Amino acid sequence: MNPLPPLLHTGIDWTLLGALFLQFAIISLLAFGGGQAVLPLIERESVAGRGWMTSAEFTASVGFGYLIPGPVTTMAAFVGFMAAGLPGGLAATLGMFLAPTILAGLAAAGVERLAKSRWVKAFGAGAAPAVVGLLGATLWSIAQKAVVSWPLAIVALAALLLAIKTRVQPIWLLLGGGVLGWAASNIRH
Amino acid sequence: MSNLSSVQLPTQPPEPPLNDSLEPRLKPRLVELGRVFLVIGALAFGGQGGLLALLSRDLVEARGWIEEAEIAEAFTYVQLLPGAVVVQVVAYLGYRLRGWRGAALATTAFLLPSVVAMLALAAAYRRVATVPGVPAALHGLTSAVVGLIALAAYKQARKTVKDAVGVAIAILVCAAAVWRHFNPAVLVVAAGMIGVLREATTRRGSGKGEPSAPSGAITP
Repeated sequence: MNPLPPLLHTGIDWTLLGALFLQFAIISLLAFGGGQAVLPLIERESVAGRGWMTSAEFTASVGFGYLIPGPVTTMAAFVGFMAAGLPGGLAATLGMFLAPTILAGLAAAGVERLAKSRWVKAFGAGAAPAVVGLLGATLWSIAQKAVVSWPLAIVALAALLLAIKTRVQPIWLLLGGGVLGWAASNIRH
Repeated sequence: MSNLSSVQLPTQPPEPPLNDSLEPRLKPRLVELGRVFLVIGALAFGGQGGLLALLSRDLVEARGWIEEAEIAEAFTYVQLLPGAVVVQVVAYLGYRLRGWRGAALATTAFLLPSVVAMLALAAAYRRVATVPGVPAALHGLTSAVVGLIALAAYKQARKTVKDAVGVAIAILVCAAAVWRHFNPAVLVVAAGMIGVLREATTRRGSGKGEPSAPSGAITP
């Protein structure tokens, strides 16, 4: 168990805040295919790379990202908080959303050429399948730690099938999973 | 809430907006703009479909600030850029309504509710994660996350893997990340460069008549 993250640092570690901002700014520019595309990059950097959080905390924060409104990438705030308290959460959030906001503003400003540039498109067309592979790798790494019993494997499989076959919102799958996980542990004890 | 998810996003590039210079448009005050996007941000469950429904209700129907076609246009263009689509649609429309200040304000207001919630969860997490019953519930929740990430991979694959090269990239990247622990960012950039190389080696002049820029660009 890691120590509790301090809510407010007495002295602000600007180097760490800069690293958080930069890390998420780079990651945000690689999100071809939407926000979910960068979850593998965030996992790699924040768990194995920097040790800002545990694998279980990463997976839970993704769950929270799906649970609350807005894009799943608001989990950047969670990662930043774990790394450096409230200032860290804000630095990571700013890094995550600043560049994409500017790009979208430029597109709205009539620089559609930017979005429609054949080179940007070609880069995206190559990068997007890589994201599929990375999501597969992330799935492998977090499933090993999260799916630790048969009931949990059933929860994961049921969530996937329900999400594909029905229009049920992720929030219900996550809450249902939480209740089932709790119930399964109570039955065993 | 289930009715939100039934909204289909446009799959075709939208028609250029009609000549909207004929009608003078209402320009929202910044305070009002921030307030509207704050509420949308607090209600934006259900990904892109959910946001689309809220935008069309609050911006088009209730206030007449923009036209339906501009929302479709926003979704189409930001799809091509890196970043979370819902945030970029908000930034795009914010810009269309009040320029750069509008984009900054709309994005900030939209993200505020979810970021505050996320920070609160992070602050509480390590204290609460040891309370009896909570670890078991979190295990259930994270198992459902595994299912949802599998869904994300499936959707991304259907949307983006279009030929044998795409399949090869996906498999090689997955293998490199699992067994060799390559840096994911490097892998994404390398795959992007493959895309650029392929574009460079295809014949020029096969540019398939790109749609011209929408004529209805609104000057803020």
